Amino acid sequence: MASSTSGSSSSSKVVKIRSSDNENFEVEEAAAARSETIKKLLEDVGDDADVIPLPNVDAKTLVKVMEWCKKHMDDVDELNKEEMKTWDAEFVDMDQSCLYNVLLAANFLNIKELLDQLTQKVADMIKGKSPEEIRATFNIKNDFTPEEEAEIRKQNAWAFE
Amino acid sequence: MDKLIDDLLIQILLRLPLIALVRFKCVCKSWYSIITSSSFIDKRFLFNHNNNTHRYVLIHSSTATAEPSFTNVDVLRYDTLHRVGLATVVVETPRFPPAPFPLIDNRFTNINVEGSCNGLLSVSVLGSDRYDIIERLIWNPATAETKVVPTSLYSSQQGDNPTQICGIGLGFDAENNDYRVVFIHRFMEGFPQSMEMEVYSLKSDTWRLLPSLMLLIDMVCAGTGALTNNNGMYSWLTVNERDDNGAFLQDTLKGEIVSFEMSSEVIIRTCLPDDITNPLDYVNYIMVYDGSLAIASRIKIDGSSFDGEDYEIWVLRELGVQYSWSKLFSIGPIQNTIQCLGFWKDDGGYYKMFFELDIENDPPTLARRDAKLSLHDHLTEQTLDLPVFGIGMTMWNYQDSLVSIKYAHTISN
Repeated sequence: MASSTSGSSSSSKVVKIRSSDNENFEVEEAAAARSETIKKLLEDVGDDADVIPLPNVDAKTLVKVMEWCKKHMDDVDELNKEEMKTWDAEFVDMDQSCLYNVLLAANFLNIKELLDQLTQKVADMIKGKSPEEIRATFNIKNDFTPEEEAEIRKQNAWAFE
Repeated sequence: MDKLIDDLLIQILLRLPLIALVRFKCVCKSWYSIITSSSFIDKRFLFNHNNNTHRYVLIHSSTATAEPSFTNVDVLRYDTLHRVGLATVVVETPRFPPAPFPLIDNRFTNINVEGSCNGLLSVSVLGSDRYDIIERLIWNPATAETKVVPTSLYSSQQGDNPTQICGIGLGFDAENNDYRVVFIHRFMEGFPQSMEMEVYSLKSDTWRLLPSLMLLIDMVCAGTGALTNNNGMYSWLTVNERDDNGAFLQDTLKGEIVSFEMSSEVIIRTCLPDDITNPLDYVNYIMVYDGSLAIASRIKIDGSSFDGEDYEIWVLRELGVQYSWSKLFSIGPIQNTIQCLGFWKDDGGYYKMFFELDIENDPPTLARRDAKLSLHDHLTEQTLDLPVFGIGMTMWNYQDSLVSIKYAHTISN
């Protein structure tokens, strides 16, 4: 059943995608099409598609992203809005490296709504941090001289209180 | 987490509160240059505008119970307003840099807000007598940056024919990337009293007289109750006591919207709808509804009613075209209304009206008392009181922004 690509109804139509580490997945087309990138690829190759390769996304991340896509496959009605909000909040609550990978994948796969949720999650995670903590989190080298940094801090002292 | 690609980083930074952005300027040079770039500042403003985030309602009012009275600016955060009805609303002053004005009980005191545009406010600073204006400033509350607006040409001319400012506006001239302050002066002597319009350019830091304002002669501006529409257009509600030939209108006054386009400096006049028979300023209120210029017009105008007041909301689809007014809906009856202040859009995209309401139901007494601020939902017909008190309230929509006054001021040099 899952291997059939000539399903009778569009809702059960399945597409195959392949992760960067060469794992194949079968996903309902409606879920996969949440990704603008996959949608476009599907349109380009039509029904002849065998497997769609996604060279930038590993299997672990792809599972995660497709979990989101499956949940967001159908339009949400008003009644389920709150439930969906809770689900989304739990979904983005993942460890930092996982979050980073899913963020990059959502960017590559062009899933706008997921990208919005993930960037908001990162913003919420970092908004209370100090510049030192930000540098550590994002692996950023401080290229200001101590004098330059002191000057910027002095000018914006209220934000450090 | 490893280094983020710039595009994603910008998407994350867009979602940060202002205080975090200010702090993160010293993370590294590339973060500094993104956060302070005008493209990011513009993007963030638009993002927050569209998502209804980091936006505020400013309520300017006077304290009736003090003599001489204080003027105050209360800052209401949109996110606390969203909780109206769910919990008690707390008026929280947002985390802003120290203001150049005294902050008493979480309110900016002794300033008048005269305009709000793209995160900048135009304010007048009152002297110790709390009445005389000592200076006018353009102020960005989010960066604490201020610029003194020089004395206007007519304001400094107090001799034979003193002038009174009867209209003020702040707007953005998108064509020249410049902010403008507009004054409408009325000459106190002479008959008929003539009006002149002066425009201040932040970029050139100069005032200029507009010759085109002959149009406005004989027009009585309805106070300074004006507001921006789409930033580039500033409109005032006016009452005209003469027709276009200069003859007195005997029994009927003519209500008009006078709009000034900041870039082209074109003045557009639009008559109020014919159905609004009383053009007086305490019957009609000018405001913005869903991006369009709107009028809230009191229906019962004779005497006060125990049942409360009803208002009709009219929206102007096209400036200058009287027949493009359309009546959208009615609000009311609402008891003890003193005035309509303007609309606020909630999370669900619904518009609610701010009112200044008398606190007491009793007949009027001579004792001065403060009015209260209330938010009315015309769909549920619920009115909720907010912990803001004062008289003579004016409402401004404000959104925090890192926009630089100095930059706008110096790029022309």
